[in-house]
Amino acid sequence: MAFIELKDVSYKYPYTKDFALQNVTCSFEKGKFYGIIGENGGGKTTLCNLIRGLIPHFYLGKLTGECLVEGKDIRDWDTAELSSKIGYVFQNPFTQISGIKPTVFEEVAIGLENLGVPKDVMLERVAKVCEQLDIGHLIKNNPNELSGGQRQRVAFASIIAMDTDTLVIDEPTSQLDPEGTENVFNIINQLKHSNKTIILVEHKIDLIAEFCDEILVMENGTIAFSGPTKEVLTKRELMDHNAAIPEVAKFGHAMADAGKPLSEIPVTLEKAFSLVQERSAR
Amino acid sequence: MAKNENNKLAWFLVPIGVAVNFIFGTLVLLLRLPIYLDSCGTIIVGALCGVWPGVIVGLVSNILNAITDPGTLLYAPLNMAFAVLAAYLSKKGVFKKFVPTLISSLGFAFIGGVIGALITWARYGFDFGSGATAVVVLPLYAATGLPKFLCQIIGEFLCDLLDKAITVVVCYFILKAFPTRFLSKLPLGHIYISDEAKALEEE
Amino acid sequence: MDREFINSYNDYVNNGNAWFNLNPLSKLWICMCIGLSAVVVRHWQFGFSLCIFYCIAALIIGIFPRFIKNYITISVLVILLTIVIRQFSMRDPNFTPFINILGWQWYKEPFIAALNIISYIMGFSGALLIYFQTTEMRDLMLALENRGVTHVASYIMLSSMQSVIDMRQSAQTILESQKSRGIETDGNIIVRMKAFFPTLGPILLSAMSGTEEKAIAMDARAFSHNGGHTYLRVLRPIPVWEYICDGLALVFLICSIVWKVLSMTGRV
Repeated sequence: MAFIELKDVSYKYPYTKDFALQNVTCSFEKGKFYGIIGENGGGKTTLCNLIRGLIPHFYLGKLTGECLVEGKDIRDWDTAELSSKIGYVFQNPFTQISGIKPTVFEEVAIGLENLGVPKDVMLERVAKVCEQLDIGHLIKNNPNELSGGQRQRVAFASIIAMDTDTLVIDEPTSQLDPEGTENVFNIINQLKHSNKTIILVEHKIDLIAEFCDEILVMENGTIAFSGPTKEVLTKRELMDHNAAIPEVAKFGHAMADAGKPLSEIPVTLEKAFSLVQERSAR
Repeated sequence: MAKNENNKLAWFLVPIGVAVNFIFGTLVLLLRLPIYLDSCGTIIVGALCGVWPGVIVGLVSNILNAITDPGTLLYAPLNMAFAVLAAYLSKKGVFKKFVPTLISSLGFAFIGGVIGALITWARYGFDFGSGATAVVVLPLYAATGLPKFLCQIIGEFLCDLLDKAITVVVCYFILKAFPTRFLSKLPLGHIYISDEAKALEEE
Repeated sequence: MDREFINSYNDYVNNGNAWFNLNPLSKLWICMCIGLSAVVVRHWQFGFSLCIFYCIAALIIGIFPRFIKNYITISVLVILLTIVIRQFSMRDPNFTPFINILGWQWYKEPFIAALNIISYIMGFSGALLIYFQTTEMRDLMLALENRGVTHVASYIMLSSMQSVIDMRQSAQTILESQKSRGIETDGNIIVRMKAFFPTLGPILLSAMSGTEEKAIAMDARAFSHNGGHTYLRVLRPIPVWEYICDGLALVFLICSIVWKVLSMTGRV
């Protein structure tokens, strides 16, 4: 069953001219990993805001159509309740630290405190998450003095500790250095193996190709393409839409254009490697 | 629609207001400018978010000051009164134009003068206070022989006037610089949204 | 991972000695009662006795160096100015001549009046200074939350303190980068003004745009959840002797009020 369902949704931010979302219809199933790609200003973050209930509860503006979470319209959800269902991590590592906790350990526990989780459960869960995300050595540190990459991992930890069924992750690496990015990828890799529903907005197309079950390509507030990762990323039209496309897929298309097609268009480096090997063995 | 939620951002602005009060105060010290500017944050938050968030900014600023100088706690009502006046003037649209804004400094200085003098008066055993204002108050008293309390009020008013004039001008430019998308989420933000942006909403 | 550190959350909050570990609210009560007694009595002998008492207390609690430094800083100006200003502002032909400094005649009555004022201001400030130097704001807010104050209040207070630190840092960074770009921050007042205003813009706008994301981030951490909260840090339950201390402090304040009333009606 679809966990989140959008039916013909349009949305316009207050005091703006253009619609940020136009007639968007899509659905997200439980336990799947979704990737959202597309150019800046295409409506990716707006879609996240809607799923997270920030639209219409935090951002006013014109919302039409239906957005259902667990069959209930987003307008009827209580934001606090929704926050215990859908976790949210976004770009800026600095604004995602509460600024009111003096240790990383307490910072990670903040959501659990707010939800009223019993202390023994809280201690156990926070310790586990810190270990899992490799921030165990930081638990005594002041989160307000960490580097961007470390803060982003702490932000992930606070949200993962809340153990929501769904995670919305909006460009988590766009403000990080390579090392920070690598660490975040490791976290996402771990999440892939949990059975959570993940919605990831990310520019790094190779990451999307590797992790996602399905992909949505957004353009001017509409969904230009959607479907299983391989199906979408191998579409030739994608190249005309300014959408990022894995280098290896471009390579596959180029091979085909040169009259030397691989047996299929690869989207990951690994696949490309084996396809090329297979071809040269022929 | 969701009016309650609209106030959520207001409370998150309070810490920034407090920080602005402090930092402007420090910057002014650092650059050795002869003003205080330590109520900028209170006035901005009062103007954008209304009375209560503004009053809290004033109160919290004074509590934080009290950590190193408990005596300043007495002056908390002053900062809180600035917030009330700022919210009132903001609703009247005063901060939208430069000249009315500048004139409003008289109001702030008046509050600073009267309430400040009252507090100083009570604090110093119903006599002159021991601050920078004494430089104005004492000669005034000696020269005119006016009642002491009146001298204190006049002294505090005069000392405050320049500071408040610069404060409101700074606030005016800051209020002007806020982006529409941010203003649209604050209780009194709509006052500062340009007509062009409002026209888009009418369509 | 530091297990010992994690397990420390199983114990009550421990800040050191008995005074530090008083419940923040009963500690505030005690300090307020003592501080207010100085305000009530307004007599220099009483006020200065309290000041000496604070110094001894600070010594015992173990905060003396920090305390005395702060105490002197906030007192020096008050002491000097009040004494001098009183000599000018109180005038009466019947005043008793006191001392003569290089031809400047001081009178006794204004001097005593000044001492009374100084002593009560210092008597009040000292008590609160000890309070703030021995109490963490987050403990105070936690105690208030335990009494039913909304967690939003804690957020506002603690976040304000952090925002001051953060903004001070960014102000410093911007000021330094302006210096290195050759913008004068020294020189005459106009020059300094010109340095001031361009510094404000970026600081403010980045802080403001930050609030929006902060609100979203806190919302994702169930900030608006209104059901019962739980706490990682738990304050010690208030022992009976602490209530007795609170009571004694109140008795002290009441005694000072009684003394004041009696002395005003001329019975002491």
